[in-house]
Amino acid sequence: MTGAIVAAKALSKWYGEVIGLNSFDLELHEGITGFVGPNGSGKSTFFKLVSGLIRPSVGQIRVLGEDPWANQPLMARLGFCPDYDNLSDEQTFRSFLAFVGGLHGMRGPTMGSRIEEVARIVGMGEHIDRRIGGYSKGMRQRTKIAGAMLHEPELLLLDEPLSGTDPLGRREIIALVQSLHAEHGHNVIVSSHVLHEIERLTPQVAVLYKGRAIATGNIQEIRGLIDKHPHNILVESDRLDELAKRLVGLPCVVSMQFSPDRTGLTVQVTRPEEFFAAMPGLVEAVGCRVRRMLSLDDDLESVFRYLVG
Amino acid sequence: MRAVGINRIEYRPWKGRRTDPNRRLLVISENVLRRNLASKGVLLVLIVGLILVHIFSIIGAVFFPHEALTNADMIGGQAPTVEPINATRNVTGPLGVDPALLVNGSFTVVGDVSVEGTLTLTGALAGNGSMVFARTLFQMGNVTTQGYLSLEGTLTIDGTIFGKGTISGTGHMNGTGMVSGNVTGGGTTTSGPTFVGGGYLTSGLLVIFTMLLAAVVCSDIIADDMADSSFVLYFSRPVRTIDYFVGKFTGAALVMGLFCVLPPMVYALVMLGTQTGSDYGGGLVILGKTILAGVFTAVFFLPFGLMVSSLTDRKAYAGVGIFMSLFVLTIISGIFSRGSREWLLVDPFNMVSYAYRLLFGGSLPSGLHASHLAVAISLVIVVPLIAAYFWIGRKGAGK
Repeated sequence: MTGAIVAAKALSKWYGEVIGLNSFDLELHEGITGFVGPNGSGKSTFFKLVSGLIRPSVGQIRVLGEDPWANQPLMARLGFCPDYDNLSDEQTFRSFLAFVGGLHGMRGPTMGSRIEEVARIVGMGEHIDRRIGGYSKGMRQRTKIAGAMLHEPELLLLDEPLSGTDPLGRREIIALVQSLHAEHGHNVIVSSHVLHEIERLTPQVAVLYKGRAIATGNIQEIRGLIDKHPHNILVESDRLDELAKRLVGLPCVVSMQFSPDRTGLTVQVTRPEEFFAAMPGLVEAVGCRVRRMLSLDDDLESVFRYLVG
Repeated sequence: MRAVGINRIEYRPWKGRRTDPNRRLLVISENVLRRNLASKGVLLVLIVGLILVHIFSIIGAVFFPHEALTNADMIGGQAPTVEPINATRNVTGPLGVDPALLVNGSFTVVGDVSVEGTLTLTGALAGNGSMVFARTLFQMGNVTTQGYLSLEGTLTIDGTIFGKGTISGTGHMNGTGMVSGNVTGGGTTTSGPTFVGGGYLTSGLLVIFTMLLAAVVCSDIIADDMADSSFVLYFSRPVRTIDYFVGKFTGAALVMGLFCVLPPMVYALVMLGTQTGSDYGGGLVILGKTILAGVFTAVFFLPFGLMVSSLTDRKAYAGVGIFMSLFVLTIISGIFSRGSREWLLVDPFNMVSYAYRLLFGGSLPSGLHASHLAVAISLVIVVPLIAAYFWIGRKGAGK
């Protein structure tokens, strides 16, 4: 377990009869690492264990070479952004960060200038004195991230930072997280239950399912595993018959099934990216109007079922 | 697993000035203070309480001539006086009757008297008026007589008399206990009394509003952190459970101090500043005692409040729970103190009132001991503190 920023060995955590993590083995090194898994897979439990908020039931975990449990000096080197929003609407970005800085023992003009620096980094410079109650979801997420990075931690733990954000906000946060490592040197562990989001953040991922790390490594390798299994995509459109004829020609399409009222078409594909890339051309060629198109497996539940057999 | 493809820049450590970790609890207290001073509920209780409890007294201190600041100004009646039994004293003023009063002598009633509680008479009772016993299941503070009682015989007191009624007579009062309040009449009273009651601190309103304020301040102090998981905000930082706990307690105590410490201090200073006499030394001692009494009052209800707040994540439940729990103790005390006077010490109102008496040189009602009071107060403070700390540790992060 040397050289790793986080190392877990036979790590288990259970809450009464509920298992949070189950015999979890993992080593994470410097850089950005994505944690992906469906709800209840153990992501938040892992983050709490890393940040010393809870104690392992069995096994051991080392963070930056130390045991995180009740380790206040280590906590000063970590920055944790939880998945839920507990920001007070009455506070401003500045007052929230001043409070957080105070908890880290920061104060005075140095803290003031650091708050302004962090506000610029997370793109909140213009809203620094606005009430948080008036922030959008994306701005609130960035405020939370700012709270986690204010004290310049070595390791940032971002639990579902993209949750609830709109596409634009998501893109901005992804760029922010990448810059936190590339420009500011933070190691980052970031979680999401959406594989595509994590894929845009980092090539290094760990896939969690039911409290276990079922796959770790480069995203392309994991994608290869997933692509061996059909992926279900629902398309709702007019002129579905013509569209279906064209879809048959795509190599990635395995099968298709019309809904009983023939207003929807469920397409099974092996490589979703290939399908999504081809769709705009097909739609244009057929001249149909697509009302809705969504991946039925986007919750990743099925993906994880594939991975675990 | 090793990340690839990112040009990592080395970690830049914090270059600012970090403070002592102990200072971090002050950040938490400051946050509690700010939040409470922005809370409409807290402000409402504070303002109403300040007007009803403090402002009128302070105005009175300015306009009513007085020679010096005395203990009696704080806890009522005359200055505490311990006189030998069978000494004789003429007094004037209102009187209430303690529910456990034991009368061994005789007296005559020429007016009406209403007693809420139990009055035990082993002597003769003669009267031209009527005597009404309005027994209640529990008492809130002092029992009050509403009518007039005239004495022509001898009244022997083994208990305590205090209240707001009026007693007048030509008889004698012989006692080994205390007379709290004043006796009106042309008769004589033979007793070993400390004359207290109806003072600035012991009016009863102060304790009621303090309890109400504690309930409002403590209702969300921990419950809200549990409800919105703000615990993580604290415990994922270099903040220990004790920092969090002491920080919250200190913050709440500062809010309470705005009601319990500051106004009594102002009252004492105004009394000192407007006195006609020249004894400032004694007044300064009383000022010190007043600050001590204020600090005691400010922190007395907080452990209980913190404990209840740590048991639920519902602010409303916590607020009502704190208030009702304290009243339950009062009810229990009211019921069982008829059997044994020691149960009076279970009532938080009595604890505070008796502590004031001791602090300002008075004595406890007969049958009660200062050591027992100290134990009762310690239990009310220490046990909830430990319980709250334990629960915060458990629930804080599910450790």
